[in-house]
Amino acid sequence: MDNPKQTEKQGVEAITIDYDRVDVAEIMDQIKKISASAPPEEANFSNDVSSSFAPAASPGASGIKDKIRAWMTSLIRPFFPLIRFIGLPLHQDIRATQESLHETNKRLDKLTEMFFRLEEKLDRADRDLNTSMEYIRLLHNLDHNLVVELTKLKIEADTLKGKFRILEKDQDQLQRRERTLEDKMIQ
Amino acid sequence: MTVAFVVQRYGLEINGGAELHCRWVAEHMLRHIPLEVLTSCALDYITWRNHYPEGEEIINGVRVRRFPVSRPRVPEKFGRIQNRILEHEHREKDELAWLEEEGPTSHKLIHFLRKNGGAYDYVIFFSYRYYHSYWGIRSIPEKSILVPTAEHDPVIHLKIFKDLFRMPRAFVYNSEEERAMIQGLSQNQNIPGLVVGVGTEVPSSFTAERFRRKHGIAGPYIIYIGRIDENKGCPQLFDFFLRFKRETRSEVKLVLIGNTVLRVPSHPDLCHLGFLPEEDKFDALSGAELLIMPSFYESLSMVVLEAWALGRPVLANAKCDVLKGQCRRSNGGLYYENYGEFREALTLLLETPRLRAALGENGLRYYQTHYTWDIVEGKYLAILNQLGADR
Repeated sequence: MDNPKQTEKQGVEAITIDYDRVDVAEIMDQIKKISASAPPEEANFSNDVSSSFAPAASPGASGIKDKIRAWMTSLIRPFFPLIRFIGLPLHQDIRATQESLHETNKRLDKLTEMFFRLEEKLDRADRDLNTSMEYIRLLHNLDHNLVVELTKLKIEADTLKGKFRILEKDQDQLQRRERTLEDKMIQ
Repeated sequence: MTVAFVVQRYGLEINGGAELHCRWVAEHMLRHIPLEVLTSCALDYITWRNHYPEGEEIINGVRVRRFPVSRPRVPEKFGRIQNRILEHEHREKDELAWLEEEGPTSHKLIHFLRKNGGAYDYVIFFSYRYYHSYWGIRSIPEKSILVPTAEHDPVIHLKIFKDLFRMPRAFVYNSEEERAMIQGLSQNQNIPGLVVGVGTEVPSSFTAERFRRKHGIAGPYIIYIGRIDENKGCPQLFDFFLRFKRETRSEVKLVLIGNTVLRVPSHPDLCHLGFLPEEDKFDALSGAELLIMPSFYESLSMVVLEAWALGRPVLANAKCDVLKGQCRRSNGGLYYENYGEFREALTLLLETPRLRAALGENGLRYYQTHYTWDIVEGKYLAILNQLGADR
């Protein structure tokens, strides 16, 4: 019987997949790890120095140029081992540069991750800010409504004061009239 | 119960996401409820120039009322206004000016809704960002249901839309991610909203051999279906794929189906076949090792659902929350954020037929559980019935 948990070889790396319960998130975690730790691609140098160093023939190159190039190639062919020997340090330099580039890439990946995290934080802050702005807008509306209500109350109070003054005057008038009537009755 | 569907464009020639979504839902819901579609006379989404005659017509059994666009969009002016509101401090009236310029500005459609909105029990608006939805929902908020088809687009942060998202009676979302985004932006959790999406039509028969014979495609291939556009992440896909080919010496081809608005690089393993009929599309999809979806912005990728309906796995761009979320929920596809992940995921998928089959099966199960038409229709009916019961 097949073991459901199998290891699929991917070059030098291995990814474990549980085929009874395929979990994409789990596979992606493994892919992310492999991708993050992948070494820089090996430079694919050919052993044939002539093919490595010979410039690619352009479609418009004249026949004379091709002939000269072929003649030159045949002329330097005996010196290929020497050229290869000279080329060796160059190869090492390239490898060293690639390794350094790989390190830089890894640092860049870390920075990118930090950038994404920062972006997420900014998004959250933006959402919070939006909510706060909404509250402020509501508070502003509330302020506005309170001012309107207080103004209405002030007008109401002024009106009531006016009415009160009128009633006072009416009462004075009635008291004077009462006194006059009393005087007349007594007389 | 009578329902109106309101959408920016409508017609058999229109293959745009929200418009096609609306047409499919309308044609399927017609089996359950009387409905009609209110739309503009536009065909072209760049200028909204009037193309169809004003008035009524029947399309696949659905009554369609068309209203003229008052003035076509001037793309340069629209671009200028959009840049200004996205990059500078502005006021609400600037956003409304942007909306007016975006269109399709059909005053007659809004006037019709104000005057006759009472004749419908519910009005379902498709695409939140256009003139018809903004002013239409404001005309009859108590009867409005919004299908936002929203993506992570900068304009979704405009103030006018935050207010708009608090107005309808209910929402029909395309995905969990879309719901979370809209609720996060507008705090409209109190408004009922169901994740529904859209079903897909799978032809009864499809064969990869017919496609291979017709278009001369031999060997394994992966497929991209959709508009070949910068917004869809195609330049990145070309870059990643060609790099992948150089580094791995894989013999896989990339077949591209769809109209292009950018130059496809010349490479023997990049096969651009242009826009193909549905039958050819499904033939091609059935023979592909996997579907690749490089888009950064999607509210729901119909073609991903079609791939899962055919039991094909998917490799999607993880920068798009919706695609990543769907892959994780369905366990029907892998995703990538950068070239390293693209290379590893594609290599794993191409070299592991058993994984492809397992992801395809999961995708098919996910499609059958959530996106067959019976389920989609049932969800729409459930929303309408729930709103009816709440009245």
